Amino acid sequence: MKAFSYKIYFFLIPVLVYQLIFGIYPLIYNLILSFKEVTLITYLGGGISQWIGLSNYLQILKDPVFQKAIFNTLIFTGLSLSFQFIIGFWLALLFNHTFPLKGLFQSLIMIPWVLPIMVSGSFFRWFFNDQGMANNFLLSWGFINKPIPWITSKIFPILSITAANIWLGIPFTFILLYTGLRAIPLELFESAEIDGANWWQKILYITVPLLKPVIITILTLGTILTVKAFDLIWIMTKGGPGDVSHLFTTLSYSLAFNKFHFGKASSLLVIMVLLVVGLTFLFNSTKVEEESSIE
Amino acid sequence: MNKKQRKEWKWKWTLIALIPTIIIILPLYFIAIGGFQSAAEIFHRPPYWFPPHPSMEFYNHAWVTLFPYLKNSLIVALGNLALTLTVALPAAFVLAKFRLKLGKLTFLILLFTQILPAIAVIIPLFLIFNNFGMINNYFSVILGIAVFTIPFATVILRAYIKGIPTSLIEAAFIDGADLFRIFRSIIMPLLSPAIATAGTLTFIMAWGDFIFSLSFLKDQTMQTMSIGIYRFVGQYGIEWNNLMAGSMIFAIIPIIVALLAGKAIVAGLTAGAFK
Amino acid sequence: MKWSLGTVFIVIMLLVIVFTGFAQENVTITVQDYFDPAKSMGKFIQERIVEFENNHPNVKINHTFIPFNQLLPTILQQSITKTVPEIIMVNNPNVSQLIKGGVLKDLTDKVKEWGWENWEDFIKGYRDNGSYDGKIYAFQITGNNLALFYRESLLNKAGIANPPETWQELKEQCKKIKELLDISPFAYDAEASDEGSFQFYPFLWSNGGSLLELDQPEAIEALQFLTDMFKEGYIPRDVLNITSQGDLTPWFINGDVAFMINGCWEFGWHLTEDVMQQLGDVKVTSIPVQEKGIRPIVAFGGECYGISSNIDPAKYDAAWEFLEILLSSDINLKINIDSASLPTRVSATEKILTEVPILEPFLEQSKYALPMALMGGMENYGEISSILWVAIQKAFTGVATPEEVFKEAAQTIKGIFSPEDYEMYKQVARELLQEASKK
Repeated sequence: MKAFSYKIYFFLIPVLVYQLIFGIYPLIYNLILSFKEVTLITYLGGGISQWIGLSNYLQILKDPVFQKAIFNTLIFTGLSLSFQFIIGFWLALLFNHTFPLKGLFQSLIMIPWVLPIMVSGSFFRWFFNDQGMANNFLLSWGFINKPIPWITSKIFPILSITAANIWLGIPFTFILLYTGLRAIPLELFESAEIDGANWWQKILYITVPLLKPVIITILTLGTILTVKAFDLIWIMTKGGPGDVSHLFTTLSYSLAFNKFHFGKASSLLVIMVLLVVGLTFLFNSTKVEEESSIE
Repeated sequence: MNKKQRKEWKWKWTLIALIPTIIIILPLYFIAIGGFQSAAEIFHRPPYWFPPHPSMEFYNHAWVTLFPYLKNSLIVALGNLALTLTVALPAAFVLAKFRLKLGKLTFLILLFTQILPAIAVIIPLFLIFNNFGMINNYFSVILGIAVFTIPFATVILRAYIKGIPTSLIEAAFIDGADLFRIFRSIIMPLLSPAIATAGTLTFIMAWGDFIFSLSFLKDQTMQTMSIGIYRFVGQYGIEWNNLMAGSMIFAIIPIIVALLAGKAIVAGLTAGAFK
Repeated sequence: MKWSLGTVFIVIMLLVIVFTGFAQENVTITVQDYFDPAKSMGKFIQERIVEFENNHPNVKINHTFIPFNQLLPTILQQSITKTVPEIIMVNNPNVSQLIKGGVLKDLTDKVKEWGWENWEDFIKGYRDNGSYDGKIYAFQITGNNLALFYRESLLNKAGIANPPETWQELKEQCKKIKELLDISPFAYDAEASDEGSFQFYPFLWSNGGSLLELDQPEAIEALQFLTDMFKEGYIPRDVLNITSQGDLTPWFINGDVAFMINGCWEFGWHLTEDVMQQLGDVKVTSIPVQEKGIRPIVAFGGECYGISSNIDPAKYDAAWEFLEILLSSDINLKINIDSASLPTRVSATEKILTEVPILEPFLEQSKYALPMALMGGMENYGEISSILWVAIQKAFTGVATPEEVFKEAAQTIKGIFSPEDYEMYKQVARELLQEASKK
């Protein structure tokens, strides 16, 4: 295949160069910013930001809000991905049949991704209000006799936000799994049936292995998109009440635009990037990646 | 089963699928009817399931406000889609099927450069773009959004291309086909579902972009609908009814795109690779 | 032949050069704000722009809209990339930051030309906020503040004849209304943003407390009062997460609350004439204080205009001319009437009371209203405000007691400044408060 080698690079270079310039430069910019003490005045050019090495990082790591943010980010990401995946997978299996109105339903399932998050986030905030729909249901059906403080207490907010985020991410997992599923030839399932396999075995031994690339992609991109999530949390609680529901992104934003500690905000972002890099390495180091490539 | 029985059998799936669909679009229902009510009615306790005094006033106002932005959003989103797919497809092909050291590096860069939130990226990008005098045109916004949509689409397409049997490609090699030919005649036809999927997600991302349009476009007449929506978020607070009506209008085009893509996904797969 | 064509060509070129040399240079100025172009403020500015362009044919003015919550980030971005528009609008708490950051131009000379009496006609608080070190940087053209709105019929139902004047009365009235109507009657915005802090200032300052001395009893008492109100269920818990003060009004209109702390702008927004007529019992009074006789001291809100420090010198005169128009007393009156805001010039303030009588409590309070930024360390105000709202939320949700959260907050706030700066800003705040409380 030597004859191909230079042409292959033509296919690859545009993307590589583009991301190197426009993707890596911002990373470096933020990295440099994270080593400086940047106040509003120096940020605006009214002074020079002092180089302070790892000081921002040390301060951040000692901050109790940071520890909350790690905890929240992990819960938020772990639960979101798990449930989004399960629900998306179940829906993909369901839609793998042909039935009337399927096209309509399919496009409606994309709604969570389509609606402006300002609006859908506000809906969930309203839904989880002490005097909102969730409590109304539970109260009128007698499951509880006092409203549950879904977003006004110390522990529930992150869970309520996660529930909203699960809703938000379903279109993503659904459509990716659905397309992957439909590419699996029916003959494989049919011959498995003839061999006496039940639905569970079919999923485990045919579907999942064939979907491995798609599944890993969903986990990888899903992790990136979820850890990056900002607007939903900001709209629902702004990281509060107090600072109980901060994630890395909201804490960074708050440091930058509420407190004008731009250096610290950047250092937090760098930590976040390292965390996600670590996680994606985990997902992408499986042996599956090695199969069926051309030298 | 005769034809009638088969039809009834299929409606069973429709009913089953109805349940999760309704649950998922329940928020949409409240947002849609919110556009017919006053602020006090929207926040009435208990919430109204039907607007007590529906008024078209807010949908009208939202439509009149947002319609001018429609053209700009289409230009940006479609432009971004075209650019993204053009660049992502070849790269995804190579990343999926060829083992190159540069490939591994590229893949990692594609992942890492997506992690930063847009707001952390906007100032360095603005500085670069401004240097080249590229601010204040659609192209700069398209390129800005592409920083996220290109890696995103590439990674997704790569996953689907991995699902194409390598034997097909190797057979074509042996037959003497060159790279472009293989790409065009073998890979592309099999990929229309994948393209539809990646394309839909990319389009939705670009349609919803806010920060690049806001920062890179100075000319009011070029701003996109996602900024237009924010006219209902003012200094005294949010005009909920207008915002909700506006969101419904905002959602029309992406939903149509999703509908068309859904058809493409089904159509492409019936063509099949195994004929 | 060729020669003649060549001559003709050269002559034409020379004529073109001569004419373009003599032709007026077209000056383009951009005015940036967060006023929706379809609403009264936006339209008003637009009308002024058209008028100005008609009178100044060589000047073109572009009007740029930036969404409200993106205005400050956008100005910061523009500042870094040196693309700040010629005339910018700034929300008043951010003016100090932009002055110190060198974003706004020193306009003192222009003001001298214009006439010092014009500057003095602006209410003192606004002047203090827009100037620094004797130099003038920004003018506030719209004003607002907070007062106590109440539904008279709900109070009457609970047997209450008059609105509360003191904290104790407020608490007792809330207790009665809650027992009778089973609602949390007092709507107070405790969200995690500057609006949450804004709502706290009347209680803090009327009680003699200071943002820079939150560990003092005056400040702790104010927080204790509100925390007790929250814990007793007199304040709806959902106030922790609302998007803005405007979200309280639908509850008020629906009768789900009997009181709300809100701003005069509501009369230009939710509380339209129709709604007022429909409800028939909406009244306003000044914010309750600790003891009878104390003056309620509130913060003022509103928008300011200034000129970019990087402005092209060729555009400066035209930009100032346009700004001057926006600052005139007539405009000051007109621009505020539609949106039920308060004029910022004394001469205009006197006239608005006849047009919009319900603004009386707000106008009275505006005489002594204080600038938040100056009360909170100027360019450090943003950070201090965020420390405050986090503390309030912590106290409300019971993470710690008011005393504990404020002691911690005061420590953090002190640590932001150098010891000399801290003393200086502390003094500034004390003096401003003293002056405002003087009878």
